[in-house]
Amino acid sequence: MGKDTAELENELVDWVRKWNEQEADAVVTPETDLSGTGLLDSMALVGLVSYLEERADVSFDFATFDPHGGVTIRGLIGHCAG
Amino acid sequence: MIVYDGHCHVASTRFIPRQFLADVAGNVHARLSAHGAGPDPGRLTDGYAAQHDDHLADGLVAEMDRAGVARAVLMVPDFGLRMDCPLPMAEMARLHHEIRLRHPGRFWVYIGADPRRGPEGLAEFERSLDAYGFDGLKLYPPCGYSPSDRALYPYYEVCAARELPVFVHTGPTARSLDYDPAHPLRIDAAARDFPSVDFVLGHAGLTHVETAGYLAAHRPNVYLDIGGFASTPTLPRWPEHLNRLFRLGVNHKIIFGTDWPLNRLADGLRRSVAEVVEGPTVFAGVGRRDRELLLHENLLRVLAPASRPAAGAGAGAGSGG
Repeated sequence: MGKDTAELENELVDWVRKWNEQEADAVVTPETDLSGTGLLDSMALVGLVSYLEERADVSFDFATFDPHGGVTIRGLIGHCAG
Repeated sequence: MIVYDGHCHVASTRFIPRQFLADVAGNVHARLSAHGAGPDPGRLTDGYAAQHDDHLADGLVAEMDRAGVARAVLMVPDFGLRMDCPLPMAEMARLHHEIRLRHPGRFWVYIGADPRRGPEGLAEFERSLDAYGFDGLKLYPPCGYSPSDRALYPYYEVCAARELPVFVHTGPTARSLDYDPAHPLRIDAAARDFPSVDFVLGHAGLTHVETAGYLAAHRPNVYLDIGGFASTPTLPRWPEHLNRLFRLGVNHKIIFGTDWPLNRLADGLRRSVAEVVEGPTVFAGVGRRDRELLLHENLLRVLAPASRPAAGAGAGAGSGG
């Protein structure tokens, strides 16, 4: 994954904020549980993963991804980095 | 509390056509694009396809264990006359039989059919029942037929003779399929003509609720499914919806189901089942007896006696047949 991780985290945080139109009660950080807090539903999560793939030029391995315990931006990026 | 999931699929591209996933991705893309966040539709479809690699249902069984789901119904819809499918129905039936042998006591199977396949289709349906002891018939009217089509009556006669339930998809689905035959009232003639056959209306606790509710209340053999409750786009506050549904007075006719693998990426079975069983909203004001009906007893009531777990065999251990 060639893209700077911090920059990528910021881009994904912006994507989540934009999705919620800045109106979400929860503060969005790279460690925020996106599904548990209701920030993203299943459709939006698929969209976020696709955006991550596009921005980082990586392929997300759904087969080995474990969403239990929450889905975070840092966790998604870390999963791609292996 | 025993929990049975009355509506699951094996998350496998062997059984779910690529076109179906592309249709789902198309709607996701439309919604995301409206927010200015729409990724390439092909990438979305690839993402969905990548989530369908649980070919032997090992992942589903692990999810069921985490969520406390003892047993589940596997649906095997017949999309073959509308979409390119990787396998013929006979092979899908054989593979589902193998899945059930691999995970004894965990799955019932409702096998699909399409009335336009003629006498050979009916013969194949009966062969699969004889060979594998499947537990019900799965119909997908959006493929282009009414569930009250007279061509289905021979299937219903088979189901009546074997005491098998018929699970009928209702409401919206993949955008390339037909929605008119998926209205719940399309079942009315068949339900009247085959009073000994139990018809379960898929998703009817989520869409067309008013119509489905009176069908369930007044047709003794019509039941409602809630599969997809946690991922239906038009139900963003699904706990409140389910709580309203469970106060309509038809809890003796509603069958709990998730429509796995919907919502797989968001939280899996564990979180959505926990929200239903232990959360503060879904069962607020719903008595314990009704909860038992909803979570497992209504499903047992529509299954043939031979399909029900043997007494004393434990919630997750049954005949497998």
